[in-house]
Amino acid sequence: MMVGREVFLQTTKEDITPGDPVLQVNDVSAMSDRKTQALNDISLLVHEGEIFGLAGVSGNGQKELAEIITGLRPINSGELIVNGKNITQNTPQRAIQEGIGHIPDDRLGMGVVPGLGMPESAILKNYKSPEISWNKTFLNKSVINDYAQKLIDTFNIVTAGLENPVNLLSGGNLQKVIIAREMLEDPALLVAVHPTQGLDVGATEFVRDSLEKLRRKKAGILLISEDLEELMAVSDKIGVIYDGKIVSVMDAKETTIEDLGLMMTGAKYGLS
Amino acid sequence: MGYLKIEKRLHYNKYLDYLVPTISMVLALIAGSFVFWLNGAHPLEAYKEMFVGAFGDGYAWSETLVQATPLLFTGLAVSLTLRTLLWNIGAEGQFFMGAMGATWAAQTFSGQPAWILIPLLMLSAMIAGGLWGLPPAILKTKLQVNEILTTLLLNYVAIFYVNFFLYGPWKDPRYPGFPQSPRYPDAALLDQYFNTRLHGGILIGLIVAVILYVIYKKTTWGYEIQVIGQSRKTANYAGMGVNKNIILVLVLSGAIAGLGGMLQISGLQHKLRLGGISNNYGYTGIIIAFLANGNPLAVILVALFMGALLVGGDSLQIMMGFGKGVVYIFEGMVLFFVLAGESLKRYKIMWVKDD
Repeated sequence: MMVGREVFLQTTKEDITPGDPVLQVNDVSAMSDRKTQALNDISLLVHEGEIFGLAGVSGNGQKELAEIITGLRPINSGELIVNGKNITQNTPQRAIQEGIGHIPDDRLGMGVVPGLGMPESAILKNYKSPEISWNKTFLNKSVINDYAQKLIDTFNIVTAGLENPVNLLSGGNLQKVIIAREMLEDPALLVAVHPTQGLDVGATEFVRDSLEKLRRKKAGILLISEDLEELMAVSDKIGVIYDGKIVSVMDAKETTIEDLGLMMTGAKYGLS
Repeated sequence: MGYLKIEKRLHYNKYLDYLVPTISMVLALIAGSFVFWLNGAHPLEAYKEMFVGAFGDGYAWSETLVQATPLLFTGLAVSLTLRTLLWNIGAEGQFFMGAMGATWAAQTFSGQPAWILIPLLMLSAMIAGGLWGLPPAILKTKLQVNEILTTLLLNYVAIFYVNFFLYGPWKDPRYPGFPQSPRYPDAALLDQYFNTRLHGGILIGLIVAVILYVIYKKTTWGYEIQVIGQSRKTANYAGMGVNKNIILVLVLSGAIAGLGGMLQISGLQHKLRLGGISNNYGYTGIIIAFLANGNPLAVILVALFMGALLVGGDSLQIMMGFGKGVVYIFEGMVLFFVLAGESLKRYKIMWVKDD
C-alpha cells in the first residue's frame, strides 16, 4: 500500500463459538442479467457470530448470490432459509423485514440516495417504522434529522452538514453512511459486497472493525471480497466460489493465499 | 497570464437554488432585448409594454391569472413526474382528454344541480386524463419503452379524438358549420369574478400545489418517489415498489393535467372546441416544471410568470405589431439560461493565475 509506511490492518478477533445457522442456501439456481446460469445448485451455511468469507474471481456468481439473499433477484430452484424461515420467495422488502442487512457493491448508485442529503439516505431501510413515520404515511422530519445526526456523530462521518448531498462525500464517508445505517438496524445477517474496495486505510479499518463488532453481537456475516488478505484476516471460514458453485469451504486459519488462488481458478480440482 | 478552470462544487449552497434561477431570468431578459432591438423597437419600451399589459391594472392582473391557471395544472402535472425523473411530455393530450371527460359528463348528467355536477365533471376529467397517462406507464414498466415518446405521441391521438367528437357525435346542432360542442349547462359552469374572466380554477390549482408540496415534504410516498427519481437501483434496494410507483405517478400526473382541462372549459370557454382550449399549455408546462425544479410552490410563481409572458406578448402584438413568435423566443431564452445556470450550480468557473 502506498502510504509511506508499513500498515498492519490487524483486526483483533474475539473467540466466539458460532451459534445456530442464520443463513442456509440449499441447492439454489439463478440466472444472471444476461439470462445465463449464474448460480448452479449452490449451497452454503453461515452461523450466528460467524464471518463467512467468499473468495472468487469476479463474475463467478458472487453478485447474483448477494442478490438472491437480499431479494433483488428471483430464485429459480432450491431454497433460501434465513433464521429458520424459508424465504425462497424473496423480495427486497421481505429481506429487510427478516433483518438482512446489505452493504452493496455500488455504494453511490444503490447504497444511498445520491443527490439528496444525509437524512434521506439514513432512513432508507426504516422509513416506515413507527419511530420515523406515523401510520407508515407521514414522516416526522425532526426525528429523521436527529436520527441522521446520530449516525453522523456515532460513526464520525465527515460531511458539510445534514443537507449536503451525499454524492459529495468521500468514498470512505459514503461507506460509513451505509454501514452506520445497516448496523443500527441490528441485522441478523449482513451481506457485505466488496466493502473495503477503493477505500483508504482508515476507512478500511473502520469497515473491518464494524464487521467484527457485528460478529460479536452474534450476527452472521457473508463477506464477498476479492482481497484475499482481507478475507484471511477477517473471516472465520472461507468458501471459494467458482462457476456458480462453492468448490471448497475451509477454516480461515488453515488456508493459504496460494491455495485460495488455485481454487478460485478452478485449477486445483481440475474443474476447468 | 492565467487560465479558466472549471471545478466541481464540493459544498452545497442553499442560496444558489434561488440565486441562479433569478440571475438566469435577468440574463434572459437582457438577451431578449436584442430581439426587440432587431425589430426596431426600444427594448425598455417593449418591456414596459409587456409589463403594463400583464400587471398594469386589475384587468391585466386578472388576465394574467386566467392564463396562469391552466399553466399551473400542466406545470404541476409535469413537476410530479419530474420528481421521479420521468418526463411527461403528454400534459397537452391529458389536458384535452380532461376537457373531453368533462364534456361527456356535462352532457350525460346535464340535469343535475351544480354541487353534484361540478364534482362529477372534475372526477370524470381526472379519470380521462389519468387513463391517458396509463398506456405510457404500462409500456414503461413492462417493456421499458421510453415514456418521452409515448406521452408525446399520445398528444396527437388525443387531439384526433377531440376532432372526431367535435365533427361527429358532440357537434352542436345549432351551429352546424363549427366544430364545437353545445354550451355546458349553467350548473356545470364556474362563477367568474369582478367582471373579469377570472374563475375559481386558480384556487383549485393552488390547493393542488399545496397538497403536492405536503406529499413531497411530509409523506413516505413523497419520499419514495423522490428516491426513485434519484436512483431506481437504490429504491429497489430499499424495497420500494418502483414499477407500482411509476404507474401511480404517471396516472396522477395525467389526472392533474386533465383537471386543468376541465377547469379551462367550466371556468372560461364554456364549450369544447379545438381553438382556445389549449394555448400550448401542456408544452409550456414542461418548461415551467423544469424552471421550478420540481417544487410545486415554485411552479405557482413560474406559472404566473409564464402567464404574464403570454398576456404581455399579446399586448406587444396589439400595441407594437410584433408577431406571436416573440413570446416563444422568450420562453426559449429563459429555458436556455436556466439550463446553463443549472450547470453553474454544480460547477464553478475560476480564473487561475500562473505563477
